Amino acid sequence: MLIIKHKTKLRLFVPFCLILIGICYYGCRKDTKTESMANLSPTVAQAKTWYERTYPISATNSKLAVQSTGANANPSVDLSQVLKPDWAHGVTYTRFKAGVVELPLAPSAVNTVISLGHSAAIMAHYKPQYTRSSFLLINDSTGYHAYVMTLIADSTYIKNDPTKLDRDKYNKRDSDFSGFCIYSTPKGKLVSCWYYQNGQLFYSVAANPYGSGQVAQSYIGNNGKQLADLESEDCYDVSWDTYGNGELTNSEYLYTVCFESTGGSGGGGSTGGSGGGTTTGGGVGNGTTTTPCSTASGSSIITRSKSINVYGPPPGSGAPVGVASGYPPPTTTTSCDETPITGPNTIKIVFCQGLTTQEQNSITSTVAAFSTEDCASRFLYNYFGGKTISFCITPGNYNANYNPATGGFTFSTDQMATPANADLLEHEFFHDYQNATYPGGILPYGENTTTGANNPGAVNIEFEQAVFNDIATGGRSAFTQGTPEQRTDYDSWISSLTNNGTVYPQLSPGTAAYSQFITSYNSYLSEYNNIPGNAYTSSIINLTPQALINLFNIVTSPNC
Amino acid sequence: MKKMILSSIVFMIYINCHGQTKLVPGEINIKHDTFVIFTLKPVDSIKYIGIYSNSNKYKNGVPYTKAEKNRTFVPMDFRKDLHVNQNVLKQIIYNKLSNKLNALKSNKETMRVNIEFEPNGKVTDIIFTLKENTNITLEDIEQIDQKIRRDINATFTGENYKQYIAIDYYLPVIVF
Repeated sequence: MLIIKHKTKLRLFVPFCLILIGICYYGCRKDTKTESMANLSPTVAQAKTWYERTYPISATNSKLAVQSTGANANPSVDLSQVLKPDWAHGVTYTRFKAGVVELPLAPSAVNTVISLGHSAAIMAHYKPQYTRSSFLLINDSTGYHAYVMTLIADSTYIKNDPTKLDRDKYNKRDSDFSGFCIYSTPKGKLVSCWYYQNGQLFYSVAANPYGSGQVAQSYIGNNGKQLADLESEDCYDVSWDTYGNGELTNSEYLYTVCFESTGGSGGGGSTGGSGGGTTTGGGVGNGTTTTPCSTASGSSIITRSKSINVYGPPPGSGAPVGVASGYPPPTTTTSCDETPITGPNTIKIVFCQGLTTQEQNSITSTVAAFSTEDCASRFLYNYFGGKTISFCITPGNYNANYNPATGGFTFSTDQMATPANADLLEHEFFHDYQNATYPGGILPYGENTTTGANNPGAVNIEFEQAVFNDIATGGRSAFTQGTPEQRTDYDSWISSLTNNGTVYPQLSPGTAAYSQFITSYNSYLSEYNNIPGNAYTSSIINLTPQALINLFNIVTSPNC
Repeated sequence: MKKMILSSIVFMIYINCHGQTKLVPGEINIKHDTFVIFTLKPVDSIKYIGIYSNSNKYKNGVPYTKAEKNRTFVPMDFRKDLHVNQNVLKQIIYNKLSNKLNALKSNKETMRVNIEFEPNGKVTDIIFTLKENTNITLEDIEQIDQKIRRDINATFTGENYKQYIAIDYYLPVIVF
């Protein structure tokens, strides 16, 4: 009996131990995967990992999550808790130089809709079935950003055929779309709103980053207005609605969007600076030309519930440059490099004698490409805007060069003078900026044309250019030939200066940050000068990198 | 018997959770490889370390080619002409570290990865930058290093890339 008892104990003890081992093992090697990613593309899987880490489903997973918005804290809908992306049907593409994953809502959201209100007029014009939301995960140089994009089409567009909405995606807008395109964060905060009539952008409304918080209010039956004609102070309370058996069963206020219009068809346009004050609004008509990426002409109004920026209407016909094939980017800080710079600050190009029409056109295109290369190049282009600059194509021992004595630019071959090499101009225009910054210019610091040797200070000028380039473009060109230690140190330094590529350094003399910058800069300058084979090696002179400091005190971030 | 099983359990837990090579400056041999660990200049008072495999080819830096020394040399536009599947690269890292993401997050850790590609697209060198007090082990780094070398290739557009011996790539910083 005793033996049997021991055996029984042992039989129980061994499985118990195995279970314990299993628990311990998984305790140390916890796999965070919540569902299979096997069928997802790497791009979608990566976006999913980021999204689920950034917007985790809360443990309680209540339908409503209370968000605090500072002094005006209000209960609001946390959309990330009630709407889920349908990962299996994600579409990936690139737009505005950023990776995009566009995802429909998961089927669980079939009975929910984001709406403009519930008055009879609204419900007739903007039926729940005319609304479609999707998730956008945009991966730009600063990382992922998530938005809920909601299209609220009007009946004049739908014409009793709700499937028309299938033609509308972030990167594809139906030519006669009428209605709203609203972007909000997954937390339910308004990002921006765009209104179209018959395919043309009429208004944009963007949340004012300095605006007041949302104010709680009941919405049903409140302020629902007919949108067929935009009249002054049209405000619409956007809500998240739930339907059951075709009936509205629950509705939660999200935010309010307002349009202020002078009405009618004349004048208007936006006036006043962005930020504060009151608006003169924008009527439908010949207003100021405004593209969705423009930020300069916004004027601010304070509505009863939310401070917003209103932009004037675009020209009477045609879609804005660069976004004709889709909807505007969610934020005005999104890269809009497709929009060329034009206007009074255009550089006046003169050509050297003997250039063919084809060469002249190619140079013009190259300068245009340079002007939109990045935020720093935009600044440089504008800085020299209005100036007359000569461009030549002359064979020589260079690819492109800037002559501080004449202020002119020369390409060595036709091939160099093509938009594919526009980045060469960014390099040379920075030298032009240095020339304008340093007393006496940079001519004394160039190459000695007789001996071919670099004059003292040449390395100062070229290292400053390299650091400028690396801050502006996210590259690490200065230490490409450095040792692993130099490369990683330099990478950490540039990353720290730019907060991982999201801002440009702001440096004021007398501050600790400035002193630290100068110390580090000089240390790296010395290392750069000693890289074996460096063509720019020279005697180092005592020259504060003032051009770089000045430029980034004006151009403050890679988003412009 | 009972004692033996319990001892085994304790030993397994110890091996599983604490059998990790400490990251200190110098050369450290582990399972398949030798790694060089070095300290970086502190940034914003935070201390970082760099780690690379001894199998890296350009430990003294990538030499200039003859073309690069020429003043007519047109450098690559890395933004346009170097293509690396960043998502796959990140997936390799996240998959390997999936069991310690919470610890990395609470320690506010970051990872930088610098890769050298030869013009044929193959990885030759990888350097990792981590916080000095990282929870990432050398074993983790070895496995990530091996998988990157095995699975990641660069592609290039244009012609300028052919003028280089090796081409530098920096993965945007990973903030756990």
